[in-house]
Amino acid sequence: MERQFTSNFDLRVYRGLIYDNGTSTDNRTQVRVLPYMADYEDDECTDLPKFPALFKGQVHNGFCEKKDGADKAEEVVILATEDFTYGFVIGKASMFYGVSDTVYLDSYNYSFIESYLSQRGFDTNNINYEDFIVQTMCMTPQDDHSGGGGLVELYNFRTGDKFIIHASGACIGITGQQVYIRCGSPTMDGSTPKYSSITITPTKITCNTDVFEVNAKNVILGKHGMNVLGTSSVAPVACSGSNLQPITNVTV
Amino acid sequence: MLSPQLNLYLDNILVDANRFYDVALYSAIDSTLPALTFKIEDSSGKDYADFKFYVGAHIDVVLYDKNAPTTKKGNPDAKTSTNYTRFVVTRIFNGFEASPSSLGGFIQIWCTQAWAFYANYKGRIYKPQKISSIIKEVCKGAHEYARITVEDDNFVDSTDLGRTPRYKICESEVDFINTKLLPFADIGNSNPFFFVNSKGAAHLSSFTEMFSKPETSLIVPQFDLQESIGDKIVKLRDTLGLLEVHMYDSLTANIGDEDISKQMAPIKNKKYVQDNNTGIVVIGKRQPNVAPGKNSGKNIQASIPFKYEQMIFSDATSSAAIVNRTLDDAVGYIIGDDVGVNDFFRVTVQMNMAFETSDIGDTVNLLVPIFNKQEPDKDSENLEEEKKAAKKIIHWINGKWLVASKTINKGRSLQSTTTTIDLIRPTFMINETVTTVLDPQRYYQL
Repeated sequence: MERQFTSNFDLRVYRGLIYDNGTSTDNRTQVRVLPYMADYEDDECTDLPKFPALFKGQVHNGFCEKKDGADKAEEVVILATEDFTYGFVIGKASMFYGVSDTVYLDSYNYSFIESYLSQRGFDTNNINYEDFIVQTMCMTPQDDHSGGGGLVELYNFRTGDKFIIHASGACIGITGQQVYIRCGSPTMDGSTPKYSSITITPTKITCNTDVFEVNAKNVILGKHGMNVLGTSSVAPVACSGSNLQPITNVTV
Repeated sequence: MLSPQLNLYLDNILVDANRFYDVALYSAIDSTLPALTFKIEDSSGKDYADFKFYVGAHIDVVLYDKNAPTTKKGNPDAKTSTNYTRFVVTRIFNGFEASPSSLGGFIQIWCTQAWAFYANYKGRIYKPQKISSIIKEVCKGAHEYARITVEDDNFVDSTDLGRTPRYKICESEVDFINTKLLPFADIGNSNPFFFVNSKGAAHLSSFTEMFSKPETSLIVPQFDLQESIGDKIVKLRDTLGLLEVHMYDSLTANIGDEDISKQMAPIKNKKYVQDNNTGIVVIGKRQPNVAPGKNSGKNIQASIPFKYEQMIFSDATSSAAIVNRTLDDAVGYIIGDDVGVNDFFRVTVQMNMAFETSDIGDTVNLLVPIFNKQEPDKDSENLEEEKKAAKKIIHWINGKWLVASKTINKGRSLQSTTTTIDLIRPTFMINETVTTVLDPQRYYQL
């Protein structure tokens, strides 16, 4: 007799809707594999398959059907056996458009990126669309330039320049000439810009901020071994006859 | 049944018994659903022109005794007749043999059991439970037109832990059972058989489970060959409590397969498996767990037909890695390889009758005539040896067998009904003292 019942052991690529995110004790993603499981009844969905991330140390959470509804739930790419009892989540899924589709709605919108960057104080004159690789572009409904959600992470593959930019304007930029760290944005809402930034070049560090507070036991500003003199008076002080108190924890 | 007759109904309307012939009703333990073919005489071409037979038409078959009383309406009495499961027409062929101009000749019909037609393709999740429970649940949920019956006695529990939910997607019930459930199930640590018999009863079992049941029939040679075994027939009939004894017309036997790997592969089955939770790799060898019994003293019930010395120097007879499966499913899949040895011995028996005492999955006892009996020479110098040899007259074909397949055929005439059954077992079932097998202890024991 020959084996009557066989099964395929291959792992294949599928798409699925995130049904539920992981929890603190089980961070696997629960997925409704599409289109195969599209007609499962709601009361069955507690037993939908749960897949871990393919690569250890990753967790793939997103808008999910259980909390946010099927319309908003995000899709993931899955690697699984044909019976879905064994599998992994690879990552968030793009939609596929055929050659004849004229508008690719999921396109990484360069003009949006350019606008996004320039509104947050970046010089986009020398930025070329084709030079950028966008690693993460995540926009949430609160991305209204008032400090809501959203993150863009990209790098220029020709120059190696790397940028991580929050919708509020907070960012980290690493280029060959400087490292730039900022919180807030100089141009966000047209009002008096509030931001703090640190610009590091090979020869200089520039801090821009309203208040610079250093919370340290000792502040060393130079190597001369001298203490800064201090006074509790806010009026100018002449030297003779006045006590000048050295601030021994601030040296220049 | 002394005068077996077949009634055939097309969409509940009786077909003239003189017009259908070459009927073959087939069922097997390794074929999920039974099948039916027959021919209809249509020399005028009228049935074909009327399109009486169409794809999906219901075909019902009843076997009855012509001499038995009928109901008031003239139908076969249920107590003396056999109602087979419902079939549906899948293919209709006409060769127009009578005349191409009249489009007459015979119509040949192929049918499959109704469940193949009335299948449910809706997706569903089955909560974690034993695979046998899921299969039973699937069978119970079949469409009523599928005409299958589910009885607890016909379902044996699988041994899996039942920790995995199963997902039915874009497939019929039969496909779901065959591809998503059965590959990972084992019954009593051996491969499962799932089948619907010719009466529509669904079964889930293993060879060992089916073989453990007492014989339902005694099959013996024709009258003129029974002299040497007459007392054995009586003894067996009394022991087994069997009222009916059936005679076979012809017998053929087969051992092994041209493709030796089919039956050899499971004997020393080397498998590589990785535990999906711990990453631990397990490499092991397994022997099939299908022997009907053990070798105990002179009784040999676990030896297969190749010599022990051929196996002891063999590291393995097959090897494979099971990947991308939970450990539970991998183990179940490995055990399924047992199936290759279930029919190491296969005997085909033909009887000139409608054999209804036993069905597929039942066991029978087969008796063949005494083989080459020779009386010892009292003056011989080797008298003791000759006395021993004189006892070795029971052919190894004798004994208990499992009915693996059954085909009921009806020819042209109303009375020309024959039954062909395939009997299988994986090992010898012999007693060393009386068997004709030379040196039976040298065969490899499972």
